[in-house]
Amino acid sequence: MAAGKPVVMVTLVSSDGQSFQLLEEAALLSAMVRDTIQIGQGRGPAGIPIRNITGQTLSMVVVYCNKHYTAAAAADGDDAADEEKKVANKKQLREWDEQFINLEQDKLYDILVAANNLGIDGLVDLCCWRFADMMKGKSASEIRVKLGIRDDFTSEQRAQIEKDSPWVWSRTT
Amino acid sequence: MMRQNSAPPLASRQPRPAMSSIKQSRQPLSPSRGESSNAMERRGVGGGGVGGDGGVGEAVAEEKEEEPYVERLPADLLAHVLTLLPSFYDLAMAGGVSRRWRWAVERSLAGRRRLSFAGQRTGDDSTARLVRAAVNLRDLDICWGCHVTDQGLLKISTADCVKNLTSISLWGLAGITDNGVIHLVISTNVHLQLTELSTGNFSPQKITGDFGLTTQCVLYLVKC
Repeated sequence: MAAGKPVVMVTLVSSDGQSFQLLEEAALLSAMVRDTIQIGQGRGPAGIPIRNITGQTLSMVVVYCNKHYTAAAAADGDDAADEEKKVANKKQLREWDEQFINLEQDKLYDILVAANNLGIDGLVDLCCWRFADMMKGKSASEIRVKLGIRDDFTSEQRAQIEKDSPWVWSRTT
Repeated sequence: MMRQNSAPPLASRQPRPAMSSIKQSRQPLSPSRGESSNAMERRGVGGGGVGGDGGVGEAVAEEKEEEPYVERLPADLLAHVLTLLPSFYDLAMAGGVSRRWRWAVERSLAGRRRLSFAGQRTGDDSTARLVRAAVNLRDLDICWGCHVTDQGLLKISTADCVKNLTSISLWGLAGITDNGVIHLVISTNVHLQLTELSTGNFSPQKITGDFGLTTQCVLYLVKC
């Protein structure tokens, strides 16, 4: 946040009518907001309506954008020479990310879909990483239980799958 | 948004030629292929966008009033999640979860640039099957522990992606000989430099020589 730069705020309005004000530069993390502003809209007092995303989810997204914007701005302000500090900051941001996304799957799902619609790549990756993390090291039936998925294979398909990759299925049975 | 846009090309790239053996080896599965992708349209994409309208599968709805969240994810996002799984064990397990997931695993394989079988006890058939599904593969790593023989290399060498490979690692495979390696090298269709990391360099001509490939031997092929 260099001094002298005019502070421009943007308002995002969720599907249930809640408004969130944030720095335009933070909101620009979203490709959708970027496009809207580029065509000269969204700067007015009415803000940018975000369809299909509720206030609860949008508030999380706004928190993410603010955090990542301030982190990026701080990194810009730092001395380029101070590698150690950069690495430490990056690690800190990663830790923050992990804590931020440590959610149950219903909220995670909402945020992932929201991030995908808004085109915030970093947040999409983060959510996908969290989903992948939930599956890591688990057997197929454990994944099914954890995520509440129904096994819809027929017994023939199941037999074929086990035949296809015996080296994994023999470990669990 | 961007990922959703990239979906159609990915999907249209998927039923490629040279997947014939996959189709063969999964004959019983093939009828379900179309069906499961339809189901996905219904459940994943439709449900994800508008929040599970009436179309949510009859059978599914009966058993559970609410569909699990992860099942509502658009197919591309599920495939994206699966590309983040680091090991083959996880990927194979994800492929055994449900029909929709199996389809997503295939889709995520199609987008992969790098496959590593290191430490997995994959056999000839399963390795070749996975390599065939990974149509965009650039970097193939078949390392320690794989039960791949010349037969496997032969099968791999017929995969479509092989001619695009820029790097193949064959570390410590006990079951392979010159024969298999030559087949693979010829079908990569590029000038290859063969380097034997453990004992020094081999010139490309030496590929036809009779160096014994033992578990001690480290073989690394890199496109020049």
